[in-house]
Amino acid sequence: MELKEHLDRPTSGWSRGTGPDADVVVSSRVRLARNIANIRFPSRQSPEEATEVLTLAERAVGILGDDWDFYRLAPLTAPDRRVLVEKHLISPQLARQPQAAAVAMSHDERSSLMVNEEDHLRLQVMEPGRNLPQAWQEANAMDDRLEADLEYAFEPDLGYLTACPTNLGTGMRASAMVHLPVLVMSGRVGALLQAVTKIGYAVRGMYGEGTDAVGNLFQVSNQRTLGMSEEEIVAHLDQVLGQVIQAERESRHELRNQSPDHLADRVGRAYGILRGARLLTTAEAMRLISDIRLGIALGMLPEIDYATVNALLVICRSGYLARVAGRELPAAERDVLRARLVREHLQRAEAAAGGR
Amino acid sequence: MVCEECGRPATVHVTTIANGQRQDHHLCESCAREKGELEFLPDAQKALETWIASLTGLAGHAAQAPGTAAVPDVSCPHCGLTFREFTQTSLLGCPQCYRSMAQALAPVITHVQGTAGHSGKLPNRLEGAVRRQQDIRRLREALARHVAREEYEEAARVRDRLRALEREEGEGGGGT
Repeated sequence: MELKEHLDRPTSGWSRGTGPDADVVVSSRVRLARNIANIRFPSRQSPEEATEVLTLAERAVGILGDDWDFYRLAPLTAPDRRVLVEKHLISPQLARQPQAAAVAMSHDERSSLMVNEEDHLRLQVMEPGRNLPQAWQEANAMDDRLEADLEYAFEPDLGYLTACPTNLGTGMRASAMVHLPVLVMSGRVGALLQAVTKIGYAVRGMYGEGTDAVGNLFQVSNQRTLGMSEEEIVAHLDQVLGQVIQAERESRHELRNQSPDHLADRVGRAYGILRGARLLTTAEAMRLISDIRLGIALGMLPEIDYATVNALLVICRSGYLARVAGRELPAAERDVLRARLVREHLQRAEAAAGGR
Repeated sequence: MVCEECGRPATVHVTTIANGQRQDHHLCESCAREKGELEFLPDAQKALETWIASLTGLAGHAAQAPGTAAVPDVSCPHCGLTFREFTQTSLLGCPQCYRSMAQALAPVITHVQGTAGHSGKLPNRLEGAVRRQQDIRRLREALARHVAREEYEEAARVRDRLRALEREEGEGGGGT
């Protein structure tokens, strides 16, 4: 499959689907860090070693199957690399160091593999909704197939050896993207996330810098990677997730009982603006998208679904807009194009819903 | 309820328990942000960097005192990385670093990961041998525990299993 097709499409396999507890959990992801034995880590590697890793990775991807493709990042434009970041297929760090980097992905983009980021290989599987065990199973199977061809750096006591000791052992980072608009609205999110942090899980805003969680989207992930099995890590994180889901649902329930009209008004206005605006900044779009996702969760917007909103999260971003325009746009032109693409996307979703 | 800092409506409610004393604070969002109550723990790697920085800061002071080692003066013969360089980036140079700088790295690994060894997935090529080594390690720990608690019947059972595994290990049998 041509990379162009991946870049032109604002949706991915996971983002078109719906999973368990989708009212709060947008997606689940498992990422495994792996390195090839006897080759220096990317930050210290010679150009020859970097090429060797690329060659070995490309060969190993070949045995993953016909629905996998391998793409080097060096020939890509900066906006196209950003689109890959916006679709969660590569990390911002990989996009910044494209020379010896590559990405491989399955046609449906549920599974992908970064080459020469901080570690030689970073495998990832994304699933819609709350579905960490499934993501782990698939990542595990993918890892088995790669391992048949590659000799991983591994020590019995320390597990899989990684460039940073924070990933040592399982090399596994399991995470879930959660949408917590009402916990944010009611000011309770700080206390909840602090509690989650205290018991050893990392929480950060999905978009935006630092603690500023644009769009009320947060990522919860495990910190420890050594001394627990992958199944234990997944099970514990899933429990934490259960608590977060419950807290957000209770807040929503409360809000709905206390001020149902205000809530319906907020959702309705958000949809109206997205449906009619001619200028949209990223910040405004992200705020309104959060409101309409809440509206879908509460059954207030039957004309659209989670897949529609997931696509909007990519459509609004600067890399995707530059791709559509065919060039980097100044901010003012971006706001015009963003508003148009959002409008058209919602019109199409409504038409599809009407035809059902 | 109003913010105890500025009198605007309080939206952040923080309960802290220290030395058995419960304290409740009520803040508005901007005051809470300023006071750091809304700060989330940064990613694990950032935390590690901060910790290492504090460690090397302390080590710098320690170096003043005669006879105390500062940052361990070791490097990896395979990739040339020094431990000092590691403390600046928190990235190792190659897989062999974990062996060649094992002593210097041990406190770092304990700090971020705890003391337990790997108990997750194993590469298929090592499955049999490594599982056996892990089992032997666990049984030895269990044996010591039972002996310490004077649970001799349990200890005998564990010892028999341990001996059987050690025999296999000695024969170099590639158990699968």
